[in-house]
Amino acid sequence: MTTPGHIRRLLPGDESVVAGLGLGAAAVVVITSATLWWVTVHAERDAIARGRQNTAQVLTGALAQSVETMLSNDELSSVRRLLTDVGREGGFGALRIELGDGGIIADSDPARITHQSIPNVWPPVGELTSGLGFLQLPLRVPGKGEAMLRVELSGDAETLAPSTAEAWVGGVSAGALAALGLLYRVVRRRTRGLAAISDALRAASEGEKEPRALEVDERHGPQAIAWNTLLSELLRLRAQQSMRSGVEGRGESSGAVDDLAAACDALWHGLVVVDDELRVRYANGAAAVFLASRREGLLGAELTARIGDQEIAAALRPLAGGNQRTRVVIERAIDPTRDDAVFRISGRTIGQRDSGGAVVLIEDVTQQRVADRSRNAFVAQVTHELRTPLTNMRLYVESLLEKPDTDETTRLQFMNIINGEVRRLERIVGDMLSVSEIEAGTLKLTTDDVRLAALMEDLERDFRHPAKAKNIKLKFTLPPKLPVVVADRDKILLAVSNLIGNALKYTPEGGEVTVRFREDADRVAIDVSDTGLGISEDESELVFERFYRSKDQRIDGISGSGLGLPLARQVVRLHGGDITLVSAVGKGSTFTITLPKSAPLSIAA
Amino acid sequence: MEHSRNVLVADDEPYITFMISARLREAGFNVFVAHNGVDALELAVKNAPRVIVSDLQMPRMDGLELSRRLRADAQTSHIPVIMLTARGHKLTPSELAQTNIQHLLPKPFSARELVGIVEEICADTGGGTRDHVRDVAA
Repeated sequence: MTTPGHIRRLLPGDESVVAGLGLGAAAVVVITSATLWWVTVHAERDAIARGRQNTAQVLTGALAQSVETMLSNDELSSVRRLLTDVGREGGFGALRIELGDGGIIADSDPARITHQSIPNVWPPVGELTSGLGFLQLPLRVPGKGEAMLRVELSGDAETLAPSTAEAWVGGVSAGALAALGLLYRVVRRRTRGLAAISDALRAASEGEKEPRALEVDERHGPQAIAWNTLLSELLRLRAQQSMRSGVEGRGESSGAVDDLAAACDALWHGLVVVDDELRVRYANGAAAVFLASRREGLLGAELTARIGDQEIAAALRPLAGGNQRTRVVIERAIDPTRDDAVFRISGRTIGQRDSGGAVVLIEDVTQQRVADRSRNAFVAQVTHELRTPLTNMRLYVESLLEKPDTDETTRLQFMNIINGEVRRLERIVGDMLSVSEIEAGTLKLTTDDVRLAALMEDLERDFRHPAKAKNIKLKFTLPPKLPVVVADRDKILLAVSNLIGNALKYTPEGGEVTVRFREDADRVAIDVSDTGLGISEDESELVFERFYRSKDQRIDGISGSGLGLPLARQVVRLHGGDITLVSAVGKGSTFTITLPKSAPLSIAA
Repeated sequence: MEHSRNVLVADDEPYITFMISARLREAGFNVFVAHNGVDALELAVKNAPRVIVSDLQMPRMDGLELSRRLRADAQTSHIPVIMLTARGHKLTPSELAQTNIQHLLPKPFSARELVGIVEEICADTGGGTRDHVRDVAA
């Protein structure tokens, strides 16, 4: 992991750049001065050397003539004296007369003389040369032969060799030159990196947001490497940040971010935030449960691969890539072990300024779908239930209207049928209202004194004809006197009607339905018994559940809303009573309503 | 065509079968009544009615299954069925194709209208046209 300290070490501070530039300037000054000095000295020295050589040539030319004359007169001692004098006075380093065999007959320094006297035979002298600092002149002595006058100019040895100071200056200059070259290279390399970085900054200011696109070539040196390190650090921090904040919450502090993350974890819905390649950047606890994965395992994984379902993957794919607004919704079972479970997966892109991505919500809508199905079935059932009494009413009213001459008995019979169907319709509408009231929690009992004797008379009248039409014997076995109870009359009527209606519905033709009454000190009981199909032990409680329809094949085609019994029990329980069931399959059932005699305790719903 | 005036009425609601049979008898038809699909199928085979009027929702065997069985049996495959159904109840063309259903009559209906349709089918000497079904079903 790269730390800021590391970056600092990679990037030299400004002061070292200044120092480098100062050093360069100093080197330039040193080199310039040294060069000027060197050029001046050399020019001067050349002039001196040339002047001295000219003077020497004139002098030695005259000297050679005098020496020739003296030697031809055999005045060797005079020659020797002359050379000594001229050597001392003339500023010459050395003067000597050499023969062709190298023998020396005269010298400014007498110690070097090899021939004390002039030999008789002089061997020829070879080619003579003159150079910087010395001259060789021919001497022609008649009768003797030839010799050579060699003159060495004084001080030439020191003047002409490179001085120590000069060497030192040269060395420093060369060093400075090398330093300058090095500095140039360093500066060039450094500025190349800086130029690349400034290019990247320009691109960023022109809208390039992707850190990877702003990276520079690391061959440009440590600045380039440091810049890239900084960018990758930025990427890492950003990823960390978005992982922590999860839902892109603009938490002011890390505390707010933590609160938000905790809130997301408390959601029932699965919440997943993905990047523009559908890789998971955040998933809350519920999402991990829905996807049957550990949350740590989800991070960075491709969401579509985690869900595995091809259709969902295809539906989610439009969320990848661009920042354009996209919404997708799909409902599927994603848990193979629960194929009855329905999940709604909805996704929406979240166009951030600096990154694409999407938020995906996973909801378990199984309960909603079950409720939808029940409601649809209920509506279908209720419309069917409504249609039957309406059809009867229409048929019998039509008959009465079309045939005014119908005999009185038939007329009365039809009127009763129509009346019964109107009552049936009332009950159905009452049931529906009660259901909606119970669902809304607004069902209230309107209690009053209820004369049970009158209630039973109404019931007998309502069901007499339907029973007769189905050839069922409907009996009311009641004591001569019935008590008065405090209750909601309509609700109690609804409960008992539902029980008698069910008994008629599930009892085959020729059967029997009996209504009985019992009472003790504080309770009354109404039994409704039939000789019908009977209800198995397993279903004796289920029949009281809303929308439950028996699995018994014998009731196929018998319509029912699945509401009658649950509704009856609910209203009786609101009175502080209950409905119980005793039944034997194939023999019949007895439903019993028990009610307290005193005023109900729970009037308020 | 000795059975040309025989009509079978199948419905589990006794008031409905009572009124329908009364009105059909007034119009001169011989009426047989069944209160469930199983009985209706038996009576259809036994009495070879010219027309069958059936409710869709019945105990033991519903009207759709009854019509399919009638269609499948050579003895009864020619008998047209008038199906009494809930308004808005849709039968798919493939469902209809497998049945003898020639008319869909939504409840609540008029007895006079039903008798008219039965008369019409009986007057039609040919096998009748199933175009009605499409109209009503649509």
